[in-house]
Amino acid sequence: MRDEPTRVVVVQFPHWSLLAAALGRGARSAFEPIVRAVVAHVPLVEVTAPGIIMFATRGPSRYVGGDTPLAALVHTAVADALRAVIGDAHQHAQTHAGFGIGVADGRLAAAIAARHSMQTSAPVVVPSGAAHHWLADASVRALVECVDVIGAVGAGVPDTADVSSYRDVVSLLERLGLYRFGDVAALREADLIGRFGAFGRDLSRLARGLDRHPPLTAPAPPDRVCMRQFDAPVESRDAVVATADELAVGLTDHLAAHGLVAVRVHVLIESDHGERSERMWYRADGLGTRAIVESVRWQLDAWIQHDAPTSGVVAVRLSPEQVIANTGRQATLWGGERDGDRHAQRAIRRVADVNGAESVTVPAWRGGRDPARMFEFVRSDAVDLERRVVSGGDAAVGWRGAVPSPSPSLVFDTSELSNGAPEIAVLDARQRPLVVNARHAMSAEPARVLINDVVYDVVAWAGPWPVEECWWDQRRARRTVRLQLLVRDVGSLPVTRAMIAVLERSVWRLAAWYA
Amino acid sequence: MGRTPVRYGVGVATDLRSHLGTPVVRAPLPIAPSFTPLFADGGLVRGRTVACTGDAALSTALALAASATRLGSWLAVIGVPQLGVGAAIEAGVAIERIVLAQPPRASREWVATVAALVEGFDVLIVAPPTSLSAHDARRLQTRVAARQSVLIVVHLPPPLAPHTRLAPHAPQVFGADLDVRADTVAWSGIEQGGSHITQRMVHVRVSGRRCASPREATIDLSCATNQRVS
Repeated sequence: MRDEPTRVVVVQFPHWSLLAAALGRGARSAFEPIVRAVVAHVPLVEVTAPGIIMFATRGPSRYVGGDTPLAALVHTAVADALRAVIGDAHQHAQTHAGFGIGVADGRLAAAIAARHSMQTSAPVVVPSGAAHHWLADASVRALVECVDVIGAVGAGVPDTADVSSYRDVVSLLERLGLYRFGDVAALREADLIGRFGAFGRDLSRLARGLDRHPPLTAPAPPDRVCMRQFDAPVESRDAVVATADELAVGLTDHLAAHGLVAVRVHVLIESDHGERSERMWYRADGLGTRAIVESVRWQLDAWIQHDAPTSGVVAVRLSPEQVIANTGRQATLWGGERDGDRHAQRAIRRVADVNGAESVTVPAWRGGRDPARMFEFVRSDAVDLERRVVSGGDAAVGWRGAVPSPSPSLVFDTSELSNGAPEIAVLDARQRPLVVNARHAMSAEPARVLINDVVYDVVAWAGPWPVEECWWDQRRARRTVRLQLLVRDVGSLPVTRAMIAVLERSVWRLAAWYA
Repeated sequence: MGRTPVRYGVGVATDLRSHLGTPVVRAPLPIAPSFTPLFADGGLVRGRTVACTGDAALSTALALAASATRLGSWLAVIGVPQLGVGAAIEAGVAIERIVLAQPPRASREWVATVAALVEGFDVLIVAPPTSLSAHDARRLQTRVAARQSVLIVVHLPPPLAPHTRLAPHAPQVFGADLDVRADTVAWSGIEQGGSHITQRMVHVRVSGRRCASPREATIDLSCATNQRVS
C-alpha cells in the first residue's frame, strides 16, 4: 500500500456552535441542511462534528471535471443552504456564519486551506502533490484549530511525553524556534520522536503532508461488517438505536481484539419500502461505541425529519471503512483508572435505563455571564464519556462580567421561563423595595432581604453589576442587575451567608447561594 | 505450676478473619493538603459515610472529593440539580469525571438508584430527600461499605429548597462515621458597595464515631486548591 494521503475536500464552519446558539437551535439539527446540500452533489460525505464535512475528491472531481469546479459547486451549495438556515436572523448571527472550503492532499493541509478560504470567501485549491510546499509556510499554530480533523494529541499514542494538548505542542515547538511546518519537516523523524515520544512520529508525518496514521500493512480482520435484519419493520426510533448500540459493541470489540479501531464507519439504515439512508462518519481519534451510537442517532433523526421514510426500519448495517492500529486505549492490567472509567459508565447506563436518560447528566461548557447557564447539563447518553473533553476551566477567564471567583456552589436559573429561581424581596432601611434605575443607580442602600418569609439583615454588599445580554436580538435580550449580598439570619445563630440577587423587570430573584 | 494466661480475643478474631476472608483494604482516597491535618487517616477511608453540615457544607464536600477525581475517581453528585459547576472546578474537581443524577424522591426508588451508582463511583455527594427512611439509608451505607466507595451526605442549608423550607436541623437518617461541620467565619473583600467576595475562611470541625478526638482548623476555602476559574 502506498503511503500517500488521499485528496480531500474540507468544508469547515469554525464558529458553528456559536452560530447555532445565536439561532437558538441545536448544533446538529441546524447543521443537517448544510450536510444535505453537500450530499446532493457528493453522495458519500464524512461528517465529523457539527461544522465539519470532509469527503474524498476522486470520484466527484472526475464527474464534475476537476477539483476547482467541484469546490466552486460545493461552495455555492453550502452558501445557499446557509442562507436558508440563517433566514431572517439578526445580523449578529451572521458574524459567526463564516465558512471555508479547502482542497488538498491530506486532511491537515485541506483544513488549513479551508481556514485561508474563509478570508477570501472562495475555495482554496492546493494543487495535487504540492501539499508539503503549502504546509511549509503554514504556522504550527494551525494544529490547535485543526484538532477535529487530525485528532487529539494522545489519540493512538500510549506515551505522549510531556504534551497533553496542541497548545503544549505549539508552545514547545515555538520555544524550540520551529514556527512553521517547514521547520518541523526539516528535522529528522528520530529527533522528533526523541523529544515528543510517540507523538513525534505523527508530528513528522503531518508536517510532511502525510496522513497522521500510516496505512495499515497488517491484513484486515475478516467479517468486519455488522448487520442486523429485522423480521418485522421496526417503527420505534429507540429500538433502532438500541440495535445499533448492540452492533457497535460487537464491532468495536471485534476490532479491539485485533488491536484496531475504526476511524471511518459507514452506516446504512434501510426501510421496508427500500428507502435507504447512508452516511460516512469520521472521527480522527477513532470511533468508540458511544460515538458510533451517537452517529446512528443523528443519522436516524435527520432521516426521519427530512425524508420521512414511509415504513419501519428493516436493516441496520455498520461497516468500518478505515481502521487504524489502536495503541492507546488498552485498560491497565490490574484495575486502575481505565477500569474505574468502565465501571462508572456501566453504572451511568444502568441508571439511565431505569430512570430515563435525562436523570443522569454531565456538565458541558457553554460560556456566558450567567452562573447558572455557564455550564449546561447534557444527557449522559448524548456524550461520548470515553473521550470526554470538557473545556471551561480556563475558558472562563475570557468572560468579562461573569461572577468573580470564588464561584457560588448553588446556582438558580433566573430566566422567567424556567421559574427555577425563587422570588425574593430586597428592601432598604425604610422597608421600601430597592429599585435600580436605568443608569444603574440604586434607590438606597440594601438593608434587608426576604427569602421565603425569612428576614435576613444585609451586612455587606457589592454591586450593582449591570448585565446586558443579547441586546441585538429582541427575543432573547435581557437587562439585569446583579447584587452580591452578605446576609445574616435575624434571630438565629449569627451565621453570615453570601448570595447573589438578580433584578430583572422589577423582580428580584435569588440567583446563587454560596453553600 | 505456671500456667500461661490465656489471652482471649486475639487468636479468635484472627481465626474468624482468616475464615471469613479479610476484605481487601484499599488505601484511603486522597484529599487536598489543607484538609489532611483534619483527617486522622490522611484521606477519606473507603466504605465510610461522611456527613457535611454547616453553611459551607456543599463547598466543603466538593473540596474533599476534588483530589480523588483528579487521580481518576469518578464523582456523582446526587440530588443537587442546581450545582454550580464553576465552584466545583475551583474546588479542584476534575470536571470530566463528574456526573449529576436526579433520582426519584421516593425513599425506595431513591436508594435503588443511588445503590446502582455506588457500583461505579468512588465518591458520591448526596443531598438526601426528606422522605428517606433510616432503614433505606442503612441499606445504602452497607452497599457503600461493601463497594468501598465514600458517601458524602450534604445537608444543604435553608433556604435551598425554593418553596419548601427545610427544618433547620434535618433529621439525621444516615449514621455517619465522620461529621464534618463547616461554618464560614469570615468573608473578605466585600464592603458597603465596593469590590466583591475574594476570600472565604471556613472553620471545619471533624468529629464522629470514627474520630478519636475532634479536630478543627480554619481553612481558606477559596484557595483550598490552586484552581481558579477567573
